[in-house]
Amino acid sequence: MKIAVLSGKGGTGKTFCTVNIAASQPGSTYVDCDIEEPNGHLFLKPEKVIEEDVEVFFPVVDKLVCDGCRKCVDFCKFNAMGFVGDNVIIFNDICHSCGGCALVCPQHAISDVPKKVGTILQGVSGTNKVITGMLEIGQESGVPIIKEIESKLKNNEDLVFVDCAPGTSCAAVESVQNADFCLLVAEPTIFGAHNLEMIYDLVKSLNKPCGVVLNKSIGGYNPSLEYCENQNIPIMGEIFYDFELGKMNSEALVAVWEDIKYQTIFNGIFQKIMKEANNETITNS
Amino acid sequence: MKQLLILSGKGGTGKTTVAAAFIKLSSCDTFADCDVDAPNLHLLMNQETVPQTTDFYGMDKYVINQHKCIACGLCFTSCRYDAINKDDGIYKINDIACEGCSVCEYVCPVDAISLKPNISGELVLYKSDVIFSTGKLATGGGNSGLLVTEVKNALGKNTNESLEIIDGSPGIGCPVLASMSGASLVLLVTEPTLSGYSDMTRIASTARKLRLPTAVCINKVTTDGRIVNKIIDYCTEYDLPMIGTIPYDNQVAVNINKGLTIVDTDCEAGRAVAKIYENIIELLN
Amino acid sequence: MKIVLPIEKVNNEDLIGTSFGRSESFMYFDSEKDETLITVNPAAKLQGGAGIKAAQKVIDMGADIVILPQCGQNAMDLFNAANMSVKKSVDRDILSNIEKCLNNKLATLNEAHPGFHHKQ
Repeated sequence: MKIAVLSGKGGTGKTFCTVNIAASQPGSTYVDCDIEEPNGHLFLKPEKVIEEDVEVFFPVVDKLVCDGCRKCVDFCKFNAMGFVGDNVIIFNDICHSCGGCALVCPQHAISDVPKKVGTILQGVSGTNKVITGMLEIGQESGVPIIKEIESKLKNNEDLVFVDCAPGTSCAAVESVQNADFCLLVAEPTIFGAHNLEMIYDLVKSLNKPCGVVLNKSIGGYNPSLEYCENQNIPIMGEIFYDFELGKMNSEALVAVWEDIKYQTIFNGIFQKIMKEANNETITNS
Repeated sequence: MKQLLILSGKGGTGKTTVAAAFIKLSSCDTFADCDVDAPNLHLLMNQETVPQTTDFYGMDKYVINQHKCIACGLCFTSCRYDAINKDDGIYKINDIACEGCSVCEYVCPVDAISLKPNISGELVLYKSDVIFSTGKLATGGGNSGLLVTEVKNALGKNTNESLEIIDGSPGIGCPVLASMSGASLVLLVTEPTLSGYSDMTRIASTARKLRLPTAVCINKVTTDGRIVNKIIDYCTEYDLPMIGTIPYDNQVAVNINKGLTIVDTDCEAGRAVAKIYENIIELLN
Repeated sequence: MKIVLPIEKVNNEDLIGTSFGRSESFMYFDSEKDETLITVNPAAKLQGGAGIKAAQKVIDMGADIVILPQCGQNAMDLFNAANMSVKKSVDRDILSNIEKCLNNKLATLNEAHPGFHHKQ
C-alpha cells in the first residue's frame, strides 16, 4: 500500500503529516520526494544511513573526431550547446540528457558520460525505514531521482508514505502516478482552499482515490472544509493549531512520539484512509 | 520606479499576506504575483474588472499519428524520459513526461511523429486604476522562469518614481531567480522554524551573488525565541537589516478568509507589518 | 570594430535591453564601414538556454565587442571561448555607449551572474 501525501503549496504541514502518520505505524516506510527541500529527515533523524548517487548521462564531444558540422547544436531543443572556433561547447546545467546530439552526430563523436544529479539516502528511525531523495544544488530536474526511488519501491509490499514535492509540478505528478491513495493536506484559509482545489484537480485527473486532512485548524469558518463538502471529498482528520505542537515542530520533534494524543489522532487518520481505500476498491470492482 | 520583491524560500511563511498588506499601505498602482505555481494574491485584491488572459506556450510536446505509425517501437526505446507508453501494441506519448526533445521525431522511420504546441499556463492581467499582473502554470507544467518573466513584463515599463510590489515565487529554483531580475530591494519573509531558517539562508546567498540589497523580517513569532535568535545571528553575520517581527495572530486567518488584508482591521500582526513597511520605505530611499 | 548591443523598445524608443538573452533584437554596428543592422534575437521567447542561443547568434554575426548591462555565466563562457570583448554599458542610450566604446571608455565586464535559469 502506497500513500502519497500532497499539498498545493509548501508550508501547509505536508511533511509534518507524513512524518507523523508514518511514525504512528510501526514498521512503515517514510519516503521524502520533496527533493528540492527534503525536511523529513530533520524530524526522523535516521541512523545507519546508506548513501547512493543518482546519475544521469551527459554528452561529451570527442574533439578529434568532430568535424564541426553543427548538427548537434541545431538539434538541441534546450539550447544547451554552442559552437565557437572549431569546438562544440556543452552546458550541462541546461542539458536535459535526451541523447539527441549523440544520435544526430554523423561522425559518432558524441558519447554519454554519467554525472551525479542527486543522492538517495536510506536509513532507519526506530522501527521505521526512511528514504530521502536529495537534488544536487545547481541541478534543474528532480524527476530522475524520484524515478529511481519509485523503482526501489516497486516490489515493496510494505506500507509506504510518500512526502511529495509541493504544488502540481512534474515532480509531484511523478510521485502520485504509482500511489494507491492520495492524502491532501489543507490549511483553513481561502489561500488553502484555492491550493487544495489545484491539487485535487491533479489527483482527479490521475484517477486516484483521495481524502483531506484539515491542518492548522483554529475553529470557526474553514474554507477548505467548505470546498470538501461541495466536492464530496472525504475528510480523514483535523489537526488543531496549538502552541505546543508549533514548538515541537520548530524543534523538529516527532509529535506522535512525544505525546500519546497525537498517536491517537494520526492512527485515527490512518484507519480512515484504509477504510476509504477499501471502499474505493469495492466500488471500482 | 522602485521595485520591492517579497520572497520566502519555504512556502506558507506569509509572503502573500505581507505583500497584500504592503500594497494596501502604499496604495501602489502596479503589482504582480509571480507565484505561478499557486497564485493567491488575487484572492485578496478584489479586482472588479475582468482580466485579460493570454495563453502561455511552454516547450512543444510531440504526438504520434496513429494512421502513419507502424509500431516499430524505435521511439519507445529511444525516449530517455519514459514518456512513450505502449498499450495493446499502440504507442502513445504521455504529455506530462514528454520534455519536447524531439528524439522520437528524429528516429521515427515513417514520419509519424510531429510537434504540437503546448499551452502550459496563462497570463492574467487586471487593468483598471491599478495594474495587477499574475499568471498560472498548468498542472505538470514544470517550473517556468519564462512565465515569471512574462508576468513581470506584462506590468509594462514604469518610468515614474512610484513603488512596484512583486509577490515572488516560493522555493529556491528557477522562477525565484527570474523574479529577482530588476528588483531594487528583496524582503525575505521567514518564520521561526528550522526549515524556514534553512530556506531563508539559501535565498539570501543567491541574492548576495546577484548583489541585490536584501532585508529580513520574521513572521508567526511566538514566545519561543530560540530560532528567532538564530535568524538574527545570521542577519548580523551577513549584514542584512532585520527590519521587524510579526507575532503569531489568529486574526490573520480570520481577515484572509474575509478577503481582507491584515491592515484592514486593527490587530497585532497588522500593526507589526505597518512598522515593517515604514522600515522598508526608509531602506528604499 | 564590429559591435553588437541587445536592444528593446521602450515607449517607441530603442534602448539597450536589460536582459541580454531575452532582449527583442540585436543592433550590429561596423565602425569601419559605418554600417548598422538590426536582427531579431532568436532566443527572446525560448523556454531555456536563451543566453547561450543569443550569445551564439552574436558570435555568428561576427562581432568583436558586445556591450551589455549584465551577462549570464553561460553566455559569458561562450563569449570568452570566442575571444570576444565584453563591455559593460553605462546607461541605456545606444549611441552614447557606442561612442564611449569606440573611445575605449567602457569597462570590461568581468563577472557574470549565475544566470536566471538554475538553482544557486
